[in-house]
Amino acid sequence: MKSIRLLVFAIALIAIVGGCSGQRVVRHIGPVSDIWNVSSSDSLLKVHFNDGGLAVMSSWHADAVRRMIFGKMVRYDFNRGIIRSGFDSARFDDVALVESNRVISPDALAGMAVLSTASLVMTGFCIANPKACFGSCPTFYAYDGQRMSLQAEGFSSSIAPVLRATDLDALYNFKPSGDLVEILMTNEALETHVVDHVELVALKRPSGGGRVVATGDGEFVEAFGFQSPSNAEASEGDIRALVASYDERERFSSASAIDLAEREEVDFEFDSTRNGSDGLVIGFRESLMTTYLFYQGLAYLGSNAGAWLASCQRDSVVARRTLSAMHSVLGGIDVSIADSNGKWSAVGTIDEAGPIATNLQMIRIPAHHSWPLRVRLRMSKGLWRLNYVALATLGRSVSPLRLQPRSVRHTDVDDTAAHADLIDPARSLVTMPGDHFMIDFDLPNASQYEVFLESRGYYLEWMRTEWLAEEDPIKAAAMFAMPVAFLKIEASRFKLLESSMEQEFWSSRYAQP
Amino acid sequence: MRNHSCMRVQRVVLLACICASLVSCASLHAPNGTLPEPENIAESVFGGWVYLRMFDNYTRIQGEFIAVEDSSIIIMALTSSNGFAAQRVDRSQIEYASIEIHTTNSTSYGLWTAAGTLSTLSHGWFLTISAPTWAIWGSVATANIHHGGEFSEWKPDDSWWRSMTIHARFPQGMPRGIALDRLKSFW
Repeated sequence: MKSIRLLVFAIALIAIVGGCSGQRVVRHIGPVSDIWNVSSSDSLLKVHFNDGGLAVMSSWHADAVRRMIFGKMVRYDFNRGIIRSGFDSARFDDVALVESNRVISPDALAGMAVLSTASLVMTGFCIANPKACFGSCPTFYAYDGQRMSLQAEGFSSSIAPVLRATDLDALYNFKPSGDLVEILMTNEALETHVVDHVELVALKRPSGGGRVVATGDGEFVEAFGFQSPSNAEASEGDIRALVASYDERERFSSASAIDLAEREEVDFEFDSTRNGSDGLVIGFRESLMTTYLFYQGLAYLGSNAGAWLASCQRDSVVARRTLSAMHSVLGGIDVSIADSNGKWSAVGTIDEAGPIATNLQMIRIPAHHSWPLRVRLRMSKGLWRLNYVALATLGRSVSPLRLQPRSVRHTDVDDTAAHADLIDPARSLVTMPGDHFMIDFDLPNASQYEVFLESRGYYLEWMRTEWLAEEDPIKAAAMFAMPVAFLKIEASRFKLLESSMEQEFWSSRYAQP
Repeated sequence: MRNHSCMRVQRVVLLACICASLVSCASLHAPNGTLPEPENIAESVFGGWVYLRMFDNYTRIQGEFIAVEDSSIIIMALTSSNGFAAQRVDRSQIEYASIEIHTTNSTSYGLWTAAGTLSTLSHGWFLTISAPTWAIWGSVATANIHHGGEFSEWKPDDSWWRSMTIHARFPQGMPRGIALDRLKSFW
């Protein structure tokens, strides 16, 4: 009997001891510096604040430079009552601990490690074609006589803090009335925008129907007698109708299927016997090729995107060289004029990043040239969309009036903090997807002025979960180290998306004003 | 005589196996609705459910695990009137502590194990082999699933409590400036 009791005891003891695996929760808590180690499979992040509050965050990302965490969150007080929910931010200094939780089951898949992710839930188009997703910096709307229309996009190339830049955009279609200029600034993409300042640059229009145009260097010049080309020939034929007016019609070509940097030439002729200095005025914007290449680059970087951007921040010289490698190969719009012998001479290059708003720039034509004036634009096929090409007689250079915002409104309510962010050199306004700010400027008799918008800042693209599946360190390295070869390799892939990208791009805006 | 002895052995073994199965059904202390499912734990904003047995052998304290302090823990304790009140408990007086952080389905697993063990009644002499097999494997699976959501310790020391802070409402410790009487429970 004693041996039986021992047997029973042993069985009971074995029964209590574990060995098989069931569902388990692995919880990690650490200081805010641990946030860089949080895996994307821990898609919800909990942030414990010093005051006892809590934020449960999804679609988040951490900014090492600004020492902030941004994302969609539900914010709780110390009694776990909800304070607010939506896109918000948290300062590292306010954070006590960050927490992640992972449920492990026997058939759990391996997770991915990234700095931040965002789920694409906007439209079916965007999910099907993540590279076509709307993006690219703050967008600015102004009144065009009928409605608030999109007229500028700020610092499109400033994809990292180290690339912070000042951007000048002509509000060529702006039709102000009265003494108040309203500029609507929006964040319509899955991005964080850091806006240092927004200023209105105003120049009195010359009498006699003249306008004021700007060169790529920011020189403002009076311009008169805008003349459309008498001839405009591209590979597809006569394109005069497409470039005669600054309107919705554009001339664009398809990219090469072999080499995205393959060049094309478009020739123009201007008949005139007038004297005086001339300037070629071009309305243009990028196609979605650079958007595609940027997003594809992030996809190839994958989980290393955050670390790569951080490394750029540590060495700005290397960062600029690396990030401009692709741009150097693709190039801008090279402008040449022909002499009487038909020999072409380079005049300059027009270049401005951004696929959203049409840019307007003037490039000076040398004084001594023959008539008719023959102009050649040489550029990468499929990269540039031409809206307007004209020859203007240039007047004098003029100095602008620079205006700071008098107020900033957010959801129709004065936002003094946002206003301070934009006018204080030591502060910046950070905007999240869906944010709209109406920036007001005082400009007496505004209709007498040519108005430009100057903006400065940078933005951070949010990694999309769907991109992470394409992580390819070799292609990422090729993109920076061998851009010439990379643009040949990537051409066929881009061609698959090229024709549908434009529609999908505009359909996928996160929020529209 | 020999047959009677064998029958007795079989019954003892069967009874022991059933008891072992039921032991593995360690019951959850947390009331229904207070703990999240494992897949929802990332969204949970409260601390785990703590159950304490004191050295005086009759005092039981249970409630939401709020914070760990140097010599005490803070619990949003369930009161006799089924309300909650924040309470500071001296750690040196705690004989046994259990903290649960999510629900489990261990109860159904334990009953399944017991049912499986009972089904071996018809196995005759094979009962001695098959019954323990049911009890062992079923109970092992049950114990692991339950352990995934529960942490317990006899005479918990400082290092155990430090490791448990991650399951408190305030893993960083009690925030400054918040008195116990300002704490509320939303259950």
